[in-house]
Amino acid sequence: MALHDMRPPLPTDAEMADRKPSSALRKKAITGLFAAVSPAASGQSGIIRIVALPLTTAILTIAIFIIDTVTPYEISAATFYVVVVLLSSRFCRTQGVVTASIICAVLTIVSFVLTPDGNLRSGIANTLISLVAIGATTYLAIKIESARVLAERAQTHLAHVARITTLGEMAASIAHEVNQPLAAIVTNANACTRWMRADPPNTEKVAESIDSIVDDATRASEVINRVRALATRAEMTKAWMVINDVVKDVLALMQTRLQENRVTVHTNLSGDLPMIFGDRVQLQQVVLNLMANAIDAINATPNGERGIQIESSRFKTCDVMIRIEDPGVGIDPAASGHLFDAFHSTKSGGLGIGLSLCRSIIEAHGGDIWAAPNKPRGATFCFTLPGERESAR
Amino acid sequence: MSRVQPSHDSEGTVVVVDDDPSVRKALTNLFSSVGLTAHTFASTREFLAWPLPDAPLCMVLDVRMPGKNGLDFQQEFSRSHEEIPVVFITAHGDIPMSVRAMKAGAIEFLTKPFKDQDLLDAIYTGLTKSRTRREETAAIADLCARYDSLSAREREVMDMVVKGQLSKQIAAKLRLSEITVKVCRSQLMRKMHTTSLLELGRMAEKLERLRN
Repeated sequence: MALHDMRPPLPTDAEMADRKPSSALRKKAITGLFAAVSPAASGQSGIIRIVALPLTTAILTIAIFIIDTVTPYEISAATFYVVVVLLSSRFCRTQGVVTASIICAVLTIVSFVLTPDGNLRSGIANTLISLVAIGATTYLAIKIESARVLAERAQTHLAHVARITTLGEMAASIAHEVNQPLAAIVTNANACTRWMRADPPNTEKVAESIDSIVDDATRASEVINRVRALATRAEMTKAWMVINDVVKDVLALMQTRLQENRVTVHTNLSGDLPMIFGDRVQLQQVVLNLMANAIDAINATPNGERGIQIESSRFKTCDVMIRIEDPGVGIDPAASGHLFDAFHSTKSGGLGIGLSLCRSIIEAHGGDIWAAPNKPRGATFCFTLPGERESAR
Repeated sequence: MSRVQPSHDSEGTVVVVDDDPSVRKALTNLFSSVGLTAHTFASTREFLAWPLPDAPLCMVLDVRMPGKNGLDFQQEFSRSHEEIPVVFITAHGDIPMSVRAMKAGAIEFLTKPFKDQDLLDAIYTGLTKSRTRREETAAIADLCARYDSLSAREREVMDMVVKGQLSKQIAAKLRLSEITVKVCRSQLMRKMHTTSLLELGRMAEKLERLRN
């Protein structure tokens, strides 16, 4: 049951044929839901943040400078620099905001020098007022910015805590995964000793045994690396990846838990998906939380079906969508409004962290997450992530 | 580890059912290093599709496997194949699990990674047990065949003989001459391949037990 070659049981052709009509129906239902639940294009916000906002800010700065310079001293266009400072705080950290405000102040003074006509006294007064306004706005923007950084750090910490909790639950699973290659190593080493002590020693078999030992040790260390990747507390480290690999990683890690709960997983991962740019560990966490929820929901209906369906597909041409569908208890209509709220849980032992964490991670990636009830029962959780666009890379 | 195994132990086949390919490979390596033949299977379903050889068998079964787990499989399988002993190996054993396995008749319950000698000892015990059980089964089949070859009259006489009746008494009861009874008696002794009355008695007892 090697982590790397662990694959969810693939449905047979007959099963697939069975499932097709119902899955087509579900697709229709879900497409309808998209229109109702997520009207906004999920990938746009990221692009705006990276390119459009700084551009607007720069254009605005130049415009204010020109207007302030050509108009007489009485018209104080320079006060509008506060808008520039506020805008810069949207896409810059503290240092960037300070730089922007210094540029604005310098431009104000340059305009004052360059302005050809008007009352000099009101010119001086207006310039001073503008400078004070820029200074005050900068101060406030920096305060807001530092609060935001603190909040982000707290969230990272929360994600870490939730991750560790899940890890605790998976300790048995990890022990199992590490013990398998260890058992193989010990057994091969013992066999190796026997081959060496044979008369005459069977060197071919000795070499074969040692090769096996090396392979198994590599596998054990791979398991450890995966676990460490899940457990390390890291800031977002984004990279290009295929979302299907994330799903497969999580399935591999959850194999034991799925078996213990007698839950089967049917995957339908599309091979034709755009790459996504994101933090692998965080996205693993999202899939893991959604899967864990699905298992809990199934366990809450002891005599129901025990199959989870995971699908990846293209969404709105450039984006990627993951759908996790379970036949469990479903969503309480009363709770549906608070599903993704922090510290809101419908489970007796729940902390209400899982889904809120999923939402913050998906939103930080510029995606969308939502849930819908299944017919006749169960729930479907979907999330989208902006995919690679030709221009974005 | 350099212990020399008795020669008869090298006969027999080990069946390994474990879903982990590297564990299967390692076990095959270990078994072949001591001269045991091993057949490996990734699942119990794969194993069931395999025609069982007519030789002593010992099974090494992993507890946690996709599909049916080892313990459930053992419980079902041992009902129809009592003669195949099972050794469990698991990467995460607990006490209830091992108790269940041993109660269902497992030879040994080993936690991965295990000592090779522990496993081999268990395998040798299992193979010996399998051999004994096969011999017992063969002996019983033989006895039944011998008894089946008796005529109705001979069976009647045998029944009375083992109850301790003398030829004279039997002759009186069956209204036969004593000579006829004596001839019949020697014939049934020959057919049952025995010369002693005591042994015949033991056979009769065994047959009685089988009938019940």
